[in-house]
Amino acid sequence: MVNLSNCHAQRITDFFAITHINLKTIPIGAKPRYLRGVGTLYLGDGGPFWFAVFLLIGIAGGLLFYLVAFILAPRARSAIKEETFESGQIPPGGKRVRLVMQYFAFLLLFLVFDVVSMFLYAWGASYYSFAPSQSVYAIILLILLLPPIYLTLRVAKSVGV
Amino acid sequence: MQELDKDYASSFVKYSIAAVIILLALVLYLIYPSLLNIVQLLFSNPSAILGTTLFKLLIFPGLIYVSIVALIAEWVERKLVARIQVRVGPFYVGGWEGLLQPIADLFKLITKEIIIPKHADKNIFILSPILAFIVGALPIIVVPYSPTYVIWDYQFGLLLYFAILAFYPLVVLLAAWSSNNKYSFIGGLRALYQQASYEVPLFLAALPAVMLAGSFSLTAIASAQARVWFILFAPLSAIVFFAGMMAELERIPFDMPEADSELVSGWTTEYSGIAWGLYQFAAYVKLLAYSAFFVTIFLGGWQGPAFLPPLFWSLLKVGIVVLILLSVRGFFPRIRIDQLVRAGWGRLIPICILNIVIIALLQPYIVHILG
Amino acid sequence: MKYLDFIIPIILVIFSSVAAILSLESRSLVYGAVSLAIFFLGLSLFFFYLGLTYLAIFQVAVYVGAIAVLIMFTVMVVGEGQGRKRSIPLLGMGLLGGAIIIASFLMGISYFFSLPNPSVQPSFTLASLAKDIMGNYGLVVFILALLLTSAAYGAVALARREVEETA
Repeated sequence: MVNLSNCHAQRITDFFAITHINLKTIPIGAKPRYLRGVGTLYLGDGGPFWFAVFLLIGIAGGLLFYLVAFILAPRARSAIKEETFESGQIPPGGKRVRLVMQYFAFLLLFLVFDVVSMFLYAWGASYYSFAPSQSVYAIILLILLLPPIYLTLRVAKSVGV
Repeated sequence: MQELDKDYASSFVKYSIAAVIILLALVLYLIYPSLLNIVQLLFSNPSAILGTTLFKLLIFPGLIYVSIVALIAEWVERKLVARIQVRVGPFYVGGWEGLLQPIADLFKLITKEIIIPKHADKNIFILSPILAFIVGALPIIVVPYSPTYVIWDYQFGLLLYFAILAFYPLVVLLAAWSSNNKYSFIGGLRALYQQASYEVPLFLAALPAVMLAGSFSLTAIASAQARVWFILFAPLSAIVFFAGMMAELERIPFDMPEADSELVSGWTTEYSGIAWGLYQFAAYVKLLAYSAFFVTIFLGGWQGPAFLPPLFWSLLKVGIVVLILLSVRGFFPRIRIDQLVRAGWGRLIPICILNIVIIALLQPYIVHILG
Repeated sequence: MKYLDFIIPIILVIFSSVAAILSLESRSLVYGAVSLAIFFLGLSLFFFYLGLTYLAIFQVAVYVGAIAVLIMFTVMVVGEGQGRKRSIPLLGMGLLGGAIIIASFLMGISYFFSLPNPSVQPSFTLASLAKDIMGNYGLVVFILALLLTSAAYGAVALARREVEETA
């Protein structure tokens, strides 16, 4: 039987109505959590629990749709029905590679910009502790993101995509 | 023949709804005693029921609210776009102006056969509509409709939102590949290019809201707009976010992956029956999640004059944004992929960056205005 | 319930290792790429557990959102060759998904079974991190950004030359 006498949640309604956040100090160079002994295990307000509940209910809902379809929908398999649907024409060879790889460069650029925007979010969240003169590098970084875009667009145009 | 179809559709839907109501009444009768307790508690101390996270998760603003609004949004879209295009829209099913048309469509899709193509990857083929639905519905957890109506008031809510958004291209890629159809695969790749190209403007456009509020938590961002909404500081970012939102949702004019003239239904071609229905449902759920997010970070969330409750203001604003998004469909032609990529990278990102730089430079003055 | 402090990292490590092993050993390359994405997700849950929330979300947004997509894109476009039909049965995927759900349940429930602790401030915050990144180490970030963008442009230029050769 679980001993609830030491818990934060004193009443069962607290289980559903937690609002405060409890952080534990993690000094740099401290031992890993499982070696440090007991303490507050996770920062947060039981939110991940509800996240998991939501996830489960979403999966259950989707599976429920499939279950209803399994009951109500007919199943008449035939070879012709399961052929792939091909009502268009794509010429073989080079053109198909072109259609597939048209904008691959932009996926690479997306990767770079994803990383850079995470750094910018770190800067943006502490906006009120910077004076404008202190965030010169951030502004330069922002402005420096533009030339690669234009170069890539120009290359794309010259190749003809 | 048309009379026959109309009567069949209407009566089928009506009888099915009657059957569902009878089933619900049976279930209620069986759990009557505890239901009486819950109803008593609801009237004597409403916050004990309405304040629980389970209620928020299941009913409002969680799953049932989202499902109902998705169905209503489908009807509203068809009627609105029809009126814009000088036609009538759904008309037969249901008593008035085709109100039960979405339910009729749902029944039609449920009773259609799900055909799995010959060499398709069965696991991923069957699981990807569910994945699409989950990834579309999960961001609702952190979005606040009022200071108390948020399922999870997460400290990093905005970042969690973007982390979940990061799964969309993955879902599209898996769905497109598992159909084993090279045309829908190419359509899926173009959808991937579209979504990847417009995610960066979305990230950069939400940055001013984080900057001005000083926190990633969506309730903090909405509370910080008590004096003035963030859209007045970052109008360019709001416009960019709106455009990026339309591209991520694959709505017209960014309709290219779906209604491509050479690829029948884009990357969902091989899905039939309820599998396709789940994709459409996920699209409307995503629409609602994005609109609520937009309202929270730019339009002030629940802030409004005090003579009406905050919940009313947030629902009003979300409704207006959803209506605008739905009606845009009737006005614009489709954008080609090269125009799309050029616009996303070449025009939207510089506008975002301009707005961020302006806000960064105006920092001392903004501190005074926001208080 | 003090053993939860010990059990949760073990579960997360097992989950990530299983995903990584599946990604290496699966005969179908696409399932391997999907398992790689799940491995990144497991790693980010581990960061989540350690309290490094920003890093966890960075991990999901960058690794799962961009890198796993790129790898999957490459695998799907290039094709898989002969070993295409052999794939992990649904049971493996279900186990991985179940492990994610169990891990997040445990993380959420663990809050209610912890000993009372006064709330303390973390020793370094996102604000000080940003101050360091954009202040003291600003030049480093600047040079790194130049490096990244030149790498991206180099990749584009190389691809262009190859396309021009084949076209």
